[in-house]
Amino acid sequence: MINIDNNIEFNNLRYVPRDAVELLSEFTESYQILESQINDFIRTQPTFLNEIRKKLRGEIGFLSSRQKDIALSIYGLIVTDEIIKNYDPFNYANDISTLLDATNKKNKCTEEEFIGLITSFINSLQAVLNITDLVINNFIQFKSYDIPDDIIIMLLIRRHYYPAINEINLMFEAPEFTIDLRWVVAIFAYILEYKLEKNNQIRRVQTIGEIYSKIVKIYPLSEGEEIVTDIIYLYLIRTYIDKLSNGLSSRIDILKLSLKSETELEEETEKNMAVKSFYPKQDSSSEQIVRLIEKPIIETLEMKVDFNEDERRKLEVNIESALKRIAIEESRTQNFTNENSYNLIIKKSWMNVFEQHPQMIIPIININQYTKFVNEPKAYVKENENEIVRQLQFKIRHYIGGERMNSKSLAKAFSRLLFEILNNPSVKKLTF
Amino acid sequence: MENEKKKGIDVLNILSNRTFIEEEKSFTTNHILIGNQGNKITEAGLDAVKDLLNKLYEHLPSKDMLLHQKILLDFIKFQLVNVNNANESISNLYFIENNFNNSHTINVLLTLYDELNLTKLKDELSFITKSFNGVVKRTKAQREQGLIGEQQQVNDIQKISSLLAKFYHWLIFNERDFADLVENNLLKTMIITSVIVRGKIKRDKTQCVGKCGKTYLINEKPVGSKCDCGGEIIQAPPIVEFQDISYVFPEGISEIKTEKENSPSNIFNLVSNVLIPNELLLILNRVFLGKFSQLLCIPNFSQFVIPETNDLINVYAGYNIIGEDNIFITYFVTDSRFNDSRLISSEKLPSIIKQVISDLKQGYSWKSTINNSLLKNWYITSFVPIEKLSEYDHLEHLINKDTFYEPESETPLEVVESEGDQIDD
Repeated sequence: MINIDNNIEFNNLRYVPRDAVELLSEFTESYQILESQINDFIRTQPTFLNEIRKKLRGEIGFLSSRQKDIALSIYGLIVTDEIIKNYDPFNYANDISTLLDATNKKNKCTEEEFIGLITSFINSLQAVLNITDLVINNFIQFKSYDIPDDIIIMLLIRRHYYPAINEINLMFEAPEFTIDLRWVVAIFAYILEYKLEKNNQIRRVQTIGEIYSKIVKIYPLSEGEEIVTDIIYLYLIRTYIDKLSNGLSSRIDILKLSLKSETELEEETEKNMAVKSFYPKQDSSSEQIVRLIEKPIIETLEMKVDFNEDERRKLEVNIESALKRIAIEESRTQNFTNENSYNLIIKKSWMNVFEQHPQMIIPIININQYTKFVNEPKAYVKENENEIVRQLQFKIRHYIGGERMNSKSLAKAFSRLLFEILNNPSVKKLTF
Repeated sequence: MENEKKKGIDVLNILSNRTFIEEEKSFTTNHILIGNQGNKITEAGLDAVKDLLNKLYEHLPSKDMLLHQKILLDFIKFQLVNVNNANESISNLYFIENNFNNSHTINVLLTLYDELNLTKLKDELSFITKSFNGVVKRTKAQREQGLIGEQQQVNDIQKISSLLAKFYHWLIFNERDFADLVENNLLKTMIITSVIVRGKIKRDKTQCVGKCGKTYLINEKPVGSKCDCGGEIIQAPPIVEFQDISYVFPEGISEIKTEKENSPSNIFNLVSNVLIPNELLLILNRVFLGKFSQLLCIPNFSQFVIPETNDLINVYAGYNIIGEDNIFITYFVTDSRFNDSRLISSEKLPSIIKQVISDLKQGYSWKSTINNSLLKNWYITSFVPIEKLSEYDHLEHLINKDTFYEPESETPLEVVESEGDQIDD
């Protein structure tokens, strides 16, 4: 078992909810955007609206004509923005009608209130998607640390779902609705099912409305801070924990193995390091960086969105603060005094990226290795790791220029190198 | 290692939840969690813990009282001091209480950890109390609708409360999430009164560690004899018998605080409540088969809350043991409700406590100790016997009566000096 005493990184595996002020400003902003998007949609997509209106005649009959337009154009927006892929229109109609049932205003709300409610609904879907991703990632981490199951359950409740559910509740308070807690739980269950379906743990994803109706039948209470733990345990943990465990078992095993081998690697490096670090280290220092640079990589390579200078600057700031955080956690100062620590981060994070996207090493490797690389890209990366790392460090040095290597200069080099790689036409062209 | 063994008191974490669902009927779950190095608890020990919890619940305020009660206890932290070697503080005992609606949680925590953050512990217990309340409330509603039976209800409640207890234990002893001395309390509190109590350490009792758990006078049943129930007789933990008390308070205190709160006996009750119920110690000694026989339990820090306004009253304490059996406990009461220029901010308290305790240790009298400190402009009363406290309605009456300390006569306060310097090593 991995010793987690004094481990600050472990303690960070939790969801940090946003505060009411932040949520309110998010709401106001998205309300305005949504309102204008709805008007645009109604103006520009009359055919779509008419078709879908005919289809859902029975399902949304309870809405007023204007509310129908609003509700249906929002459906159009959800589907075109791909917030939820393959969102069935009938499911959507069912979700909206149960959502109205689950509020204190039922069908008596005004047009503004209705748009407000739907704004919060969309925002909450987005938030729950993010939270569920975090839950899944952290669940894998907890499992790989061999923490007892009962404790993992409580870590998920206390440090993830509990603050998250309170946040979602606040989101619906922004347009002045009081929402049934069971409906909030149903959103979480729905998104979890949606994720589990991808892991083949669930055959058919139930709609939010369906889940809500099931919970209402047997769970008699609908509000109160005190029931949050209970309702999370019954409808999120007890229902899905085994499926989650099964669906993620291979990822958990991989992480366990890599933790083992990385601990060995780190022990070795630690011996060579002059500075003793206070906290036992784990893989997450490099993972934090990988997580940051993953987004532009996927956007550029898979979604073909260009990585521009603005984004590079944003990324630089983010990497800098991440590096500082890592340095503070490990050596209590913003910058490592020992360059080895930086070299380790460079090595681990970039090699991780290269294993996923081998084409990214093209700007780094020697041009006469090119054919060798193209024939067997993945094997090439593995076999020539030392050479690649050497070249990588050379590049990083180049971007750092004459400065000392510290969190700031390294962040600059990281983001510039990424900029160079992602704007290289061969990198963009090749896929493996 | 040997030393460790001698010093170490096993880790014990007792967590109990109780919710009243009807007038007389309640749900209670008890979890006794023992640390890794812990000895097994005997059956008699387990019974003793249950007895203890029942007794503790008797002291807890009922729902009605919760609404009307002005001041509720949040937590107390005790130090366990070896009476044979006063400078050696061995272990810490935490007693934390929490209430939510008609639910209560009691946590008795025995550990070597000195640095537990009580505010964080309290927050976690508040989560536990709420969650427990929630599951009882839900199962009650389900039973009323005929959705589940009694057994299912008991199972559901047990399951959640056991998860909560295990997690709490894990947080303290595995993750050490609470090991953080920085109490981030945003409330500004002011020092309102200081009190010194003189007492005698009494070691004249023995107790049975068998089934009955009775206590005896040492002459009646000496250590090593057998109790009527067949249990072994051991030395009972030492206790403090209070003798007299002296108050220190600022000018015009009657204008700052209400009359009732200024009554000397109320203040004495507030600070002496901080002394652990003797019962608890006897039972812990029974559970740990005599490990507490030489340990004096001295309060270190406690917090009370005023539910209506969420204001806090804190009591900080320090002690001096002089000679064989004389003890002086100095208490400092701080309060967040008052903000008067005549009061002193509790930010200065750590240095005041340090100075007062060290001055007393060096043999200075109570009066000169206070006069050397930041409280020098405050009134000091002379020592009043505890049993006579009820004769005075108000702190200021202690000055007006003939007991008022006059600067010329040093005699009433010379006690410390006459016995001074004995505990210096």
